[in-house]
Amino acid sequence: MAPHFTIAQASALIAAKKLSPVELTQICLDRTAKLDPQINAFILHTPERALADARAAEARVMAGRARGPLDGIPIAHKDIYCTKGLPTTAHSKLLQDHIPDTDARTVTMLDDAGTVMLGKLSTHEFAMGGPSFDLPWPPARNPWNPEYGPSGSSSGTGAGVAAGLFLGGTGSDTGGSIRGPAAFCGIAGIKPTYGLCSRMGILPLSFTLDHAGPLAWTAEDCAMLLQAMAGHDPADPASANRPVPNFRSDLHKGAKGLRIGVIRNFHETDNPANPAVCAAIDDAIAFYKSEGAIISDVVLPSLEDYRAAGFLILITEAFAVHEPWLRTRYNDYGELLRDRLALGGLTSAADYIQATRRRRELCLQTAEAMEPVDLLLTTASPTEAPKIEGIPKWSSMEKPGYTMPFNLTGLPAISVCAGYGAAGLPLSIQLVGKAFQEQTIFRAAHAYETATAWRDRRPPMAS
Amino acid sequence: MPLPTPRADFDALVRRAALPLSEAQSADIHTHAWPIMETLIARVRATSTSPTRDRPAEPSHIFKPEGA
Repeated sequence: MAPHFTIAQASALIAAKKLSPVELTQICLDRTAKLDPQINAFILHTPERALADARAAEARVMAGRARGPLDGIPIAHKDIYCTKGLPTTAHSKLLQDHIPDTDARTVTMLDDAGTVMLGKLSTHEFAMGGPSFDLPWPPARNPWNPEYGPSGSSSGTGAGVAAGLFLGGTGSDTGGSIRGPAAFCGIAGIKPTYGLCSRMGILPLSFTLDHAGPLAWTAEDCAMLLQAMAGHDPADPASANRPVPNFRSDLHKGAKGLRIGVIRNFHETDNPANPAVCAAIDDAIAFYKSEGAIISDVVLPSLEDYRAAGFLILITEAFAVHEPWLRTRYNDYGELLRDRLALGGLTSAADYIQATRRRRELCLQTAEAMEPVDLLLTTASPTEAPKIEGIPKWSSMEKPGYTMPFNLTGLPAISVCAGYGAAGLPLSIQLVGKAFQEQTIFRAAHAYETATAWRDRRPPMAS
Repeated sequence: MPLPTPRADFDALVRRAALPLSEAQSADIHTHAWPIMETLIARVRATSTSPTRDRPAEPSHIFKPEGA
């Protein structure tokens, strides 16, 4: 098997002219040809485009005109990111023939940074309904064991990064759709602060909860991708007009002195995590203590409170997006998505507003609880990945997740691999920062990743 | 816990939303998903879980009068 590279490693080698972008792209193409039939990460594979991008990157590098650290790095896009002249389907029959005439803003930004685009990636239908087996394409599967799910909705990105089909990719996160796949696939994925990355040209699910962000093998790689994706966009009314910092500026400062609050009520009482996940959290706490971080307990409102406000806002806004099609093409959706979306049409306007009033309170309560710390520590999932088949239809509604609180509050949050549990499936921790303090998250995540051995192991099929 | 919505009232909500649900689809949603929704709705309505909310409490939405 060809070697795996992180983005940081490949970038350094390309800059030193010791690795050709064409050679690197060919490694990804060959690995995709071998492994993707088992994991279905891609909806659309574009090898000719990728090799053309790679040759152009190589020419720039050799001429001393490289565009920066991402020039020549192979990536792929979740198939809700619009791509000019290429199908953007949302993994749905409804958009099977949809070819946008413009790129999403973040696609343009990553193109401008010199990335090599390998194709479009599986997603839960319209970033919500999955895993589904009644769509035009099969769902992505977990490369650690294809009988298990990769989570979603950025399922193809998570599976493909973990298997080494590309070095990083785009995702979107409305209730956990970046951090869930990062957790189950054993990689890193950051949901940045609301407003940091433009949503322009990304098919919407829920306007006030949608976040764009990257997934990659390491936190450092996520920082590199986020550097290219972040920035003000007047075309996105939620876009924050503020300078973009250097997300790697604090990467090597270590954890000493960081004030980290552990949200024990999430994993001990609100939705108890299994013993392997609890042990992973405890190990992470021990690591940060040993590095000189200041650990304390932080009590946040119940996960049930975040879930109630978050789900009602999400489902109601999503219904508004899909209302015309739900009335005229209901059965063209997959069963999981259409029946969830229907719930949004049955909710009253007053209840939606009550959810947004509760949201404001939760934002204030969360900010108050975070006042004495720099970061919060929890997990992104209370268990390892479940088997992909046989998941009860409504099970995702039954328990509150660990990720929605930070969609609701807009705070930046990363999931990184925290070891391996049952059947060798990945575990995760989630680190949460204050608004627009992504550098602190990357600092803490990088310190953890480089001190543990979890980044040395790839899925067996890719080793 | 809120009282469960009777099936006839649920069907009225479906009609108001103009959703073309089959009988089986309506029954599935009413039986399995709507009770969870009712719990979530009761939670955001309740002031017992929201001690700081008073009558004029603002929603999270804002707009800027100088332009969208």
